[in-house]
Amino acid sequence: MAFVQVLSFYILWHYTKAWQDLFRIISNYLWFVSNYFSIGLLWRTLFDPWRRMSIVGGKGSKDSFVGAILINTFMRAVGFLIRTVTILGGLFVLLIAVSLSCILILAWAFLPVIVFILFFAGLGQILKGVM
Amino acid sequence: MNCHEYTNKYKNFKTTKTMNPDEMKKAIDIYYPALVLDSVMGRKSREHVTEGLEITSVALVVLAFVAIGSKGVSLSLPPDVLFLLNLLQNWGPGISGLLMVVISFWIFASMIQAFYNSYRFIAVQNVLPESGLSLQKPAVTFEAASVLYDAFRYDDVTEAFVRSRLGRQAFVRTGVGRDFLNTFFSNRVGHVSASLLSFPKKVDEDSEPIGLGDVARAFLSLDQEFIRALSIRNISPKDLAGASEWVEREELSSLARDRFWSKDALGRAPGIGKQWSYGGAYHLERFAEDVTDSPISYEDLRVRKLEQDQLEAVLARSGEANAILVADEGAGAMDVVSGLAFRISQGVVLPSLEHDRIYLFDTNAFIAAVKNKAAFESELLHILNQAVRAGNIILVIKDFPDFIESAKSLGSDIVSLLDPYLASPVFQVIAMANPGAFHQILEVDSKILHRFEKILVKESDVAQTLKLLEHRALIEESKSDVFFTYQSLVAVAEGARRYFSEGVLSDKSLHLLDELVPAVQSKGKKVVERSDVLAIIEGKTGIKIGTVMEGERDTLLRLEEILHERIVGQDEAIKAISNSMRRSRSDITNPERPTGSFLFLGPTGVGKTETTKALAATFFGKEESIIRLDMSEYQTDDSMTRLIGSFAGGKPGVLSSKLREQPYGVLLLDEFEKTSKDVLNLFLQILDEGFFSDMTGKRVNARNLIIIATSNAGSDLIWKMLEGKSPDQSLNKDVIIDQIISRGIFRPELLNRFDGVILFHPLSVEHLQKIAGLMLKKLQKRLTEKGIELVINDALMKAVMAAGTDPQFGARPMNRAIQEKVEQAIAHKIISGEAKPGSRLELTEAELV
Repeated sequence: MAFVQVLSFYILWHYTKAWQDLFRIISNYLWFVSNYFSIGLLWRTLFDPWRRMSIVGGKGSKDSFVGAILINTFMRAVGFLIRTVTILGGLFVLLIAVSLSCILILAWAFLPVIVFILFFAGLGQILKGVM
Repeated sequence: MNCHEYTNKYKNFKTTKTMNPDEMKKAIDIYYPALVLDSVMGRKSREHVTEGLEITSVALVVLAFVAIGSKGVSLSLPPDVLFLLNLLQNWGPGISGLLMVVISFWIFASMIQAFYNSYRFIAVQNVLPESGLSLQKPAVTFEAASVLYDAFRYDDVTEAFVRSRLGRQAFVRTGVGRDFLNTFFSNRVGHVSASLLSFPKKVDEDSEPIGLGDVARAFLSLDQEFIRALSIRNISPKDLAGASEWVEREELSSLARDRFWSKDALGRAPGIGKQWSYGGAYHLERFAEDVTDSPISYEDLRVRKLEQDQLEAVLARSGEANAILVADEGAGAMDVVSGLAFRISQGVVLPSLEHDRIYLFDTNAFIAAVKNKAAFESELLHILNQAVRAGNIILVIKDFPDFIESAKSLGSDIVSLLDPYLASPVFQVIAMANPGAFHQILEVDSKILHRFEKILVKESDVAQTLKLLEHRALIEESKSDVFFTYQSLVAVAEGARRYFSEGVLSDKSLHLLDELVPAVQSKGKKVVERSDVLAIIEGKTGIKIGTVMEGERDTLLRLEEILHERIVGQDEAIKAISNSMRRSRSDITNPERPTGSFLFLGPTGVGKTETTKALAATFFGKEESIIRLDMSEYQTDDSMTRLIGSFAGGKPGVLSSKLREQPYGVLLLDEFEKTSKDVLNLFLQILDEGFFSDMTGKRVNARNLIIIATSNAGSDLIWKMLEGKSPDQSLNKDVIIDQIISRGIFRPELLNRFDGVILFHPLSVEHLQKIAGLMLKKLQKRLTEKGIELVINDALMKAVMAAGTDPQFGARPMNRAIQEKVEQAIAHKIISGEAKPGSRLELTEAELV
């Protein structure tokens, strides 16, 4: 009796609480990818100079005003380029993660059926072999 | 019932003062499906089945490949192999069919496991919140619920606990084997019904869930039969509850490790690009190490939570956001920093500290690298400028006072140099200092107090230290083949607190634990027990603390007799001391006070000091364990300074340094009445609390001392009371003590602090005769070592008694008499060649004149 009870609990879980768990795990992984590639942070600081490298030009400085503008612009360009590449890379990985998640969700929905099919197909093949 | 119903039930679950059985059942309902599964098939069995299925599938895959790959293989193989291959090819479809069946079972087993874990993980605590996972702590942990569920099924909590997996582990941790439990259950009379259990209410959402330790405590409070059986094995309910908490804590942290998909686990990867918006601190990196991502255990995080919160709040301020952590060496200041580092690396920190990096500045390397003041200052400014430009640096300076002093020796005023940077909103400093140096160097500087916020790091107590030890014990176990019982760890923590006065508790305990492993291994043992810890402490301190062994038992029981071998008369005194020593050895005295404390009152030469010596020799094995202070030397106003040291002069005191050198033994305070009032007040505290503070405010422990103060105050009264009576007559102690108080010699509160005020009687002629005999025996022993046999005859005794009897001075003149009369005569004989090694020496009356 207890076994039947467990099975009924299981089926219920598979299509209720398990979905919550699954979505949570998926959201953890998506959070991980976006956090790993710092997508939000890089987007917010897209035009900041690369590693705060900048110089001051004009009066009282050994660098000219125009030179300083050129160098500072270059540093921002470098920062922009590296950040953009990273963000794009991150988005690509995120896309893969989302697609894998969709497959996982689909697979989860049909998993009990798949198990049944696998079991009976296997059984059929054994019987065929024996005959 | 469906799963939603369980969840709803749990959400609606409100607690009253104590939980009744129905409420308890409701509390465990959130785990119900997993608990039913456990009752159908145990966790271990399921694991075995899954493993078996995995191995079978791999084997079948290999067979299937061989069957497919062997098609068309040449016929040059041996006939047996060919036959087998043929068989395989014929069975090909069968094998793949079997593989499909096995894999379907394996998937099913994994699904069941996921189902089980989904409920089991409810109680796992996360640092990072996860969507859909309630941060609310459940009312009961899974392991406790599992025992309670079985308790309701069997209607016997003890049996449910013993049968549970973690329950069994807890028993192993207390050193109890299966045999003991089997014997107990086969002879058991009663049982503890689950309906009798009661647990304290869950006060609010943050209160800890009922754990396995609580279950252990609850059923042990009801099962007297089981407690009796355990006590035979020297296990207290506290031990079993503590061990249960330990195994459950470990289970929970291993569960947390199993959840590799948790945000906590995934967030540990450092990630790309976090630092791209901040400048580099290349110069700083030559002398400092980035400790932001250093590993830290969950336990460390919890132990120092309060200080971590304080530090985070201080550093997050908009300006002057610097902190000084004031802590003793090893008290865990670095743990607080690591905790903050962990919060930063996990991203669970106040917004202004996000993406900050914590650098540990190696001041020694820095000072060593610069040669002079100019180099020191320019290099430091360079580092600081770069750090400010980087914009996300938190600099940790260990031992800040030392750094200031070192800079001073180069001629540089580092505080003024740092000052403008300390005000910067984008650069923070965490300085560390021990309390002494903080008061001496930092507190007197108003600039520092202005720029820094002080955070006191409290020393961890026994309970926190125990958690630390549990964690360390597991690491030690994984490195060597020893096994720690729970009681051994309790003994380590409590022993370190009680018997080692210097240093920080957690540090001392960990050192003790480190020493324990080789000590136990050298004995050829694998299980570390309480007695091993006590043996190590005993070896290090000389204090006898373990179970009373045969020889010692004999000494304790015959203590009066043993002391009487050296002390003549004074029955009352010796009885009082012996009783007190037995109480102390049986560990029923207050551990927060000295081991024993006595005030010996009596005329001079009656055996006060001799009793002290005899006590030291009996208990600590040698008379040198006496720390002797002549209190008549401490009559002046500077006595206190000389005893505990002076802050201004930086000189340590006599008493504090002596007790630090030798915290165990007998402290003998001669002529106690002669000392100043201040000193008497100091001892009032020492006798009461067992410690005092030295000049720097550091505690000096006196709890492992037998304190004996001697005084001849009131001896005139003793003489008067005994006028015309035999000295053996019992004295009215109250009258004498009243007199002492009314004369203002000692205050009543001081006298009350002593474990005993003991009167020593004047010595009678018979006593003196015995003493003369004892002293002559000592001389006889000394001569025997030289090969000369001294005959103690009547003439000798008479001569000594005649010259040495003076009841006013007790036994003191006796000593002189022996020296002047007997030793002199013998010396003469030895020099003249009359007494040679191997000869027998008998002195006549004439020779002794």
